Amino acid sequence: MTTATATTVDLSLLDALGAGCPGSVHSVFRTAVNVQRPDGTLWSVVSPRHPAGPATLGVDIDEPGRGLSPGEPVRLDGQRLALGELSVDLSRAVPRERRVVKGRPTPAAVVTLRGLIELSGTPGGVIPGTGTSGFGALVGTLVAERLHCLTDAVGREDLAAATAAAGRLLGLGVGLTPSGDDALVGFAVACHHLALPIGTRAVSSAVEAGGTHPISLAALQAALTGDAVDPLLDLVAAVCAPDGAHSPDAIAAALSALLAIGHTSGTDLACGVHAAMTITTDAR
Amino acid sequence: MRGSTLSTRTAIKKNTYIDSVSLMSISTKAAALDGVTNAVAAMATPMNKEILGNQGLLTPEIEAATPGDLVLIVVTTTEEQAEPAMAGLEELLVRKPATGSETEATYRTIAGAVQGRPDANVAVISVNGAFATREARQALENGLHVMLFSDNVPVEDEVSLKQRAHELGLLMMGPDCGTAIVNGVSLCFANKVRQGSIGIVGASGTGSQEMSVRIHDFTGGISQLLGTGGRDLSAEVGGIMMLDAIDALEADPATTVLVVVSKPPAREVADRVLDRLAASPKPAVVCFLGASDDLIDAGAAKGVQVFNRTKPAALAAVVAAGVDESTLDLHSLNWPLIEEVRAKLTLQQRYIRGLFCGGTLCDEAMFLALEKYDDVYSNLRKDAEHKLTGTDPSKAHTFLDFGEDEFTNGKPHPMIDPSNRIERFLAEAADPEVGVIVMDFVLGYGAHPDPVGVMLPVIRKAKADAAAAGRHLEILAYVLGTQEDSQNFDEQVAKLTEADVTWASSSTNTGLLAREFVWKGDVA
Repeated sequence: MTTATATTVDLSLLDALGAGCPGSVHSVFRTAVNVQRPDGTLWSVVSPRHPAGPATLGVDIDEPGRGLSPGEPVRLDGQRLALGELSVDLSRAVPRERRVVKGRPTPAAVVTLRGLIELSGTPGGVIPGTGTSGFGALVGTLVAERLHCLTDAVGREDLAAATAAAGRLLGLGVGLTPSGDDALVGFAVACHHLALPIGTRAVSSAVEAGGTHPISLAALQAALTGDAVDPLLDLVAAVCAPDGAHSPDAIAAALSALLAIGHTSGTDLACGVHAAMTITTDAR
Repeated sequence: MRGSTLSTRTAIKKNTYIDSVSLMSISTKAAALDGVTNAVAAMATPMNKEILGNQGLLTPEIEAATPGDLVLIVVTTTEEQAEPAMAGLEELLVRKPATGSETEATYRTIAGAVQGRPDANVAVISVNGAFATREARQALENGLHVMLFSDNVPVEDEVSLKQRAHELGLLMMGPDCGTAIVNGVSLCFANKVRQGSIGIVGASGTGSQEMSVRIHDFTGGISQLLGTGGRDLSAEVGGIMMLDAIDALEADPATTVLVVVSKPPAREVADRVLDRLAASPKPAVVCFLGASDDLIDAGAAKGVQVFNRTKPAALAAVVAAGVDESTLDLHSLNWPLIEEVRAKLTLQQRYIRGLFCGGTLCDEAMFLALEKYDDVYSNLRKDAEHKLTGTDPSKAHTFLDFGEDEFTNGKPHPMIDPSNRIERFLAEAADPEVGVIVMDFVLGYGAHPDPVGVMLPVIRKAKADAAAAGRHLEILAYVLGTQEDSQNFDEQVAKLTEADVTWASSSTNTGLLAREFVWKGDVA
């Protein structure tokens, strides 16, 4: 039996755990475990290497997935959560509260973000990879083109075109979470905070139609409510500094943390955020 | 499934979720398997299936897969390669790359690492240039020497970091510092060389590697190899780190000879470095690649030996360290070989095309060509008339450094990923005016596990195509490494010999051979 202590817990997950019946193991990685509730939705147990986020329980061990297999039952017994041979003490978990975004982006902040993404982003997803060929190169190009179409359609307030573009991004790309899904998550989060209802509705319609796997769907559904992993919210907050007083250093620091997620996922998330922000600042 | 010329194998892994970093690593490694032209490892979403359909890769089993399933596809050049390639891809999937091990510890911040490892005194930093200054400053303020691999750091940040390191009595190696050997430990790109009494300070990565390998070849050994970053001897930076490193080596009891290696420095900085070396009680040897006679004479006047080529500088260093020159194999230039190659080339085949991973190796070959020819072009040249970009077609004698930012932005260094150079090699090999293609193959820590092997298929193809067109294609290679390097120097040169590729014994000889191969004498 391996024991661990929960360090953080998302407030929405805390409510769900309080209602009991947490589910069964859905998918296992070294540093994260996804658990599926009876209603099909997912929540996660993650190591300190992962940022906090929606429906996430942070624990103090590096490899919570060690020895676990999909399908194993997950049980709650008072203040202890049991995942196979892993027992997690929930009593000391600090509730995670969602980051607050207060301001609006200025054109200068959005240009800064674009420059930093170009300088620091990982190619292979939305940013084309030089020298790559075959399937990966083609889908990367398509994701970039379709994200541009989505942005353009939302800018024109053309819901039908935006919904079509979002639908053709969903599930497109390489990686566990396809690049198109990551871009949509960033785009949806930014649309929520910037009050761009056409964007939110377009992504919502695409998600309802389906076309990707449950791990991506969980992130997309949270994004439609404005929630995401903390580094993504930190980036949105850094670009939308109150009174337009953005700090390039703050944007760079937030972007740095976001880019550390996955292989190209962090970059693709940031590209989605940037795309939505160009709509309000006309910085396209 | 079999296409008209290519063979394809597919597999579906039901409900299989693998993290993106592992998935991308698996795809990259699969693409490098024997005969593989395209490898896919992606989730079976409708959109991905649509793209696969457009590429003619959709099979009934992929069509039936769901978004939670992982699709594996390999496309190979022959039917015989298809099954082993798919087996190789599945094997990669079983042994996914580890993201950590029992002996590794991960710290999220420099301060955390300092707390967790109070015995550490060096930080090696490799982050994007936009964040590098902040990380390096944190390391310095926590009392660590810094080796900063990152490039794209503003020069004013570099000056500020180096001034702060100087105030703190610490070394600030970099930015853009890729080679160091500290107390016998190699950092980033370095070769496995004998330990000894010669201390090197290098403002160029492959220049430092070449110097250490030549010293090893001449039976000498290295006490320390400290990098400064390529801009340190510019007028803006003023050699701050070079001077601090010379101080450090002068104080190091294990170092008896000082060696400095750099691309052409700013003249006033060069004079400052020569003055400092002249004031040292330890003998000093300097290699300023492409140095003018004036600079060489200025060194001599101060009692410092200055060379403009790497090999004679390395020889001078080992002699200063006590090696008897008469016992050494100096690898003199092979004139019978030069005559043999000249006889194979037509009058039309008169140009050198140098395709390099190492910037200093490229520089040295280019400077040697410039001693004999005027029409020399490169992405390393400063003057607009002779400057090429990475996408420009070659002109006359062309030397390209594939390690420059224009080739590496968003892509690994060519010592790790040779794809850019392969593409250019095939274009040069088809040019009937090309007399010799020159390439370097860098061995050692951090480099490709089989740099020659990965080029062999295209080398063989290019040679066969040239022969079919009725001309000789001369390829001159230089393998920078030692027998101690993990890639095995002897095996690498044996592969070259087997593919009818000429190989040179040093960077200097590479440049000399190349320029002599294509010399047409009075006929040109």
